[in-house]
Amino acid sequence: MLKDIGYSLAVKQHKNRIYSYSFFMLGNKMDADDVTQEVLIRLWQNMGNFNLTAMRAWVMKTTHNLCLDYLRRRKTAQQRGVDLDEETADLIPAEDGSIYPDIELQRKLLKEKLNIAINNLPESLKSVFVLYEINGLRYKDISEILSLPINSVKVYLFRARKKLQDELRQLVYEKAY
Amino acid sequence: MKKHININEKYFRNDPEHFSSENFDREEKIISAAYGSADLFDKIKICIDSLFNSEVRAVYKEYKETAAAVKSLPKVECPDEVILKVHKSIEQLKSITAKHSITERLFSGKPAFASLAALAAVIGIIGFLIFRSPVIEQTYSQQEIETAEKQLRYSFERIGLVFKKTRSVIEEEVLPKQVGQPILKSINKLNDLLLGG
Repeated sequence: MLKDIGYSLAVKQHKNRIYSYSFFMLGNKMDADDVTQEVLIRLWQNMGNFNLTAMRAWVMKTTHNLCLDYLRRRKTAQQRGVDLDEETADLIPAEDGSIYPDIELQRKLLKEKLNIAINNLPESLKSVFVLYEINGLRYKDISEILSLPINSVKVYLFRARKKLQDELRQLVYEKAY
Repeated sequence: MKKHININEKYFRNDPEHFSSENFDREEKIISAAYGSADLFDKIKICIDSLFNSEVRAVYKEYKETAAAVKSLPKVECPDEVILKVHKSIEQLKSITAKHSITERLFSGKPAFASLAALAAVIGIIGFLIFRSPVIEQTYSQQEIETAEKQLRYSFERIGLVFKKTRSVIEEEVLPKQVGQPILKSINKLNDLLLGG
């Protein structure tokens, strides 16, 4: 009974963080769905094995490891010639309509580019970037989740921001020519 | 003289590994300030530098725009159907673990439970072996029963014939010749002796 209540609270607290991280890491909804399900089932199986303070780190670590597994599997599948259905264009959730269609369109285009650029980041940089910028975690938490020293997290974040900027410039350049 | 941050274009194209630690530090501060994660002192310093250095200003502005776009990305929310699927899977897992827990309690739980369960199992097996009454049900056809009756009747008839023959032999041969004559002879001799013959 207590386990069920605790679990419900944990799901409520972590579901969006798990989903968002796996969504940005994997770049498609289907894999994000699968990873989220898997993490939440593992969370249920491991309820009681860790205290509440360690739960967030455990959840995100598990999510990160599962995402890496999916990416490895995807790489293997690509090497074997399997065509994966990427839904990069669907990355942005729909927003309410704006009264300024031009501004809204520009925003949408920028967000699309941004999502593509994030998706194009190397895994190591993307994980730090998404955890810090999208999920709003601190250096210390990221260091714990990714088993990296805090200084490395800072360097990875710096590289990710730079790489993202390069990617955006590249996308703008490709669009212009 | 005030030292301005000099940002070259190569900083944003080459691998960060090749940067000197000083350049890395400066660039990192500009980017962090643009993303809003630098400390207050660095933020003020970069803001002042950007006022006097057009290159710093351009880079700062570029990163700031990206940072704003990143921050304004709508939150990705977990769909409800994912949670429903998770709950279904957990219900299935619960039923499976409930089935397993009965046997686990009996055989891999506490030693007292395990020994009691083992004892009960042994008593049950021995009791079954001792008290079981094997009922062998055999079924015969009508024809087989009739044949068996005929054979039995024939056997009794044969036995009856043997008894009959034996009786006639005893009555006709054994009793008059083998028993009757010696007895008669003995009686005659006894008579002779008694009469004084």
